[in-house]
Amino acid sequence: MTTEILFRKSKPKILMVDDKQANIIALQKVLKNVDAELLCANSGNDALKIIVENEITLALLDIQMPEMDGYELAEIIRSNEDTSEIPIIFISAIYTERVHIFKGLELGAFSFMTKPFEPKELITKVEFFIEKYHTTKQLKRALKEVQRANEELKDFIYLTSHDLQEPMLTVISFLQLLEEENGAKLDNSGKEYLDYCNIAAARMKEMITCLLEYLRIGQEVATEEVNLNDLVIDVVGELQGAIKNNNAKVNFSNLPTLKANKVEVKHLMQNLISNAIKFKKPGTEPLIQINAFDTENSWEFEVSDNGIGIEEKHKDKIFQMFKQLHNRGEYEGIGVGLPMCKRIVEKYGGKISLDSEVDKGTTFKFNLIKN
Amino acid sequence: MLETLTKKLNCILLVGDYEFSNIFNRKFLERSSASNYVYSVKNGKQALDFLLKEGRFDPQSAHTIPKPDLIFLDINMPIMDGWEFLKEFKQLSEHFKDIVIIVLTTSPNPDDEQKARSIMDVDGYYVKPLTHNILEEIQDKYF
Repeated sequence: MTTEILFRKSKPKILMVDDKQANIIALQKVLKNVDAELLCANSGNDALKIIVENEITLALLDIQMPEMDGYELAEIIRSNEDTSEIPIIFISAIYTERVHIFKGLELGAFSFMTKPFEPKELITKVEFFIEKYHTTKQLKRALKEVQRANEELKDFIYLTSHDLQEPMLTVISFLQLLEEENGAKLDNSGKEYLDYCNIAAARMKEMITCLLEYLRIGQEVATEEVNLNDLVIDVVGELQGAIKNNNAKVNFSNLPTLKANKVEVKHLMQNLISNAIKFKKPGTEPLIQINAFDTENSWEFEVSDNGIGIEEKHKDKIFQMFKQLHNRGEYEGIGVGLPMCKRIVEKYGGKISLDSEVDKGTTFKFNLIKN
Repeated sequence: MLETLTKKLNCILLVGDYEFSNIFNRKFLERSSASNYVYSVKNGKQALDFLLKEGRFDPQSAHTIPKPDLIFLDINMPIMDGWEFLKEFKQLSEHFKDIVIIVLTTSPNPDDEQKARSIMDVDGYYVKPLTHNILEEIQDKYF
């Protein structure tokens, strides 16, 4: 409740523009009880000065004024990026014909009122914008709060993961010493327990490393012209082992050159290609096809495979951190590849999604916004 | 069994605030007979005191302290961290310049690695844990 009251303290500003002082006074009288600050201007030029210096919630414009009429003023307001969103209500006694009303509405006016008007009608409209002003303010504040909390959470995860490394390392190091110095003295179950510890410790270490890497991704600011044909050739080279072992084929042609952080884009391609090989259909040679399409604002990519596919109900899950669809040990990895891809794509203003049919294959689609 | 290294150093100094890490590294170095003496200190300040025989390493009480051949330096430490130590080390006399400094740290952070490698006095950068391969590589390269 307290914050609610605090919000109400800042009042929305309503601008009234009319060359006749009598009309302004009449408007002020009608609106005297609304909870807003009323700003007045007697000409288009005065109005523009006020608009530049104030955040206007609503503008009430007369149409017929000397020098600059209401339509011209509205056009200027609409054409300026900072003011184009200001709602406008035209109030006029002279232009009552429908054609003029349409002209007003075409200029993006919220409504067009003709004099004499019913005061209640204007008050209702003005109050609607006052309410909208407060709601928007509240939403903006809430959004800021959420963003801040999100950043804090990220820092928290980063610091925690970072600080977990040292004790983790101690466990791994001394397990190694224990094995070397006392391994021979252990009986079979002792050795078995030690193995479990080693496996679990290695997994925990990988999870911590991946968490840190995940949080680092997206922090990279350096960009360069990245030729994706060369980049995919590099990735294929690095995955040569897996490609040979599985008789996989990676086809691509005419991939674009785009401005991005090379490490990130490489990560993206590497994850998608290695997933396509990893989740192959048993007894089938993986066939991976990479396509790129130039749309006006972005590059769209498709990475298709002939693998085991993903069930519809799991499509969202796979982008979540540490989520795996299969039993542990069935496939390598800990479930960070695709969340990482999502984070990278979103950094470039894009989206990642997939089409998939079980036992047929999967196509990952993503786009990277140009510039 | 652990193999013994070909060349035994006289003194290795471990600089890091994490006790278990120092214990492990000391054990590891002793077991591989890497050095006659292995000392460990908790931060950059203590490392400087060790080199200059000041503070608790005052010559009255520790006149036998040798000059290290090799320093394993951690980055994150209280009081004086690895970076600050390297700044101070730069100011020291020629007498200390033949000491091999290896940054041995927990976090595989590319920024740290790049920064470390850009510092003249740093001879190498490794991520823990210390292994035989690392020791061998250091011996081959610097001794």
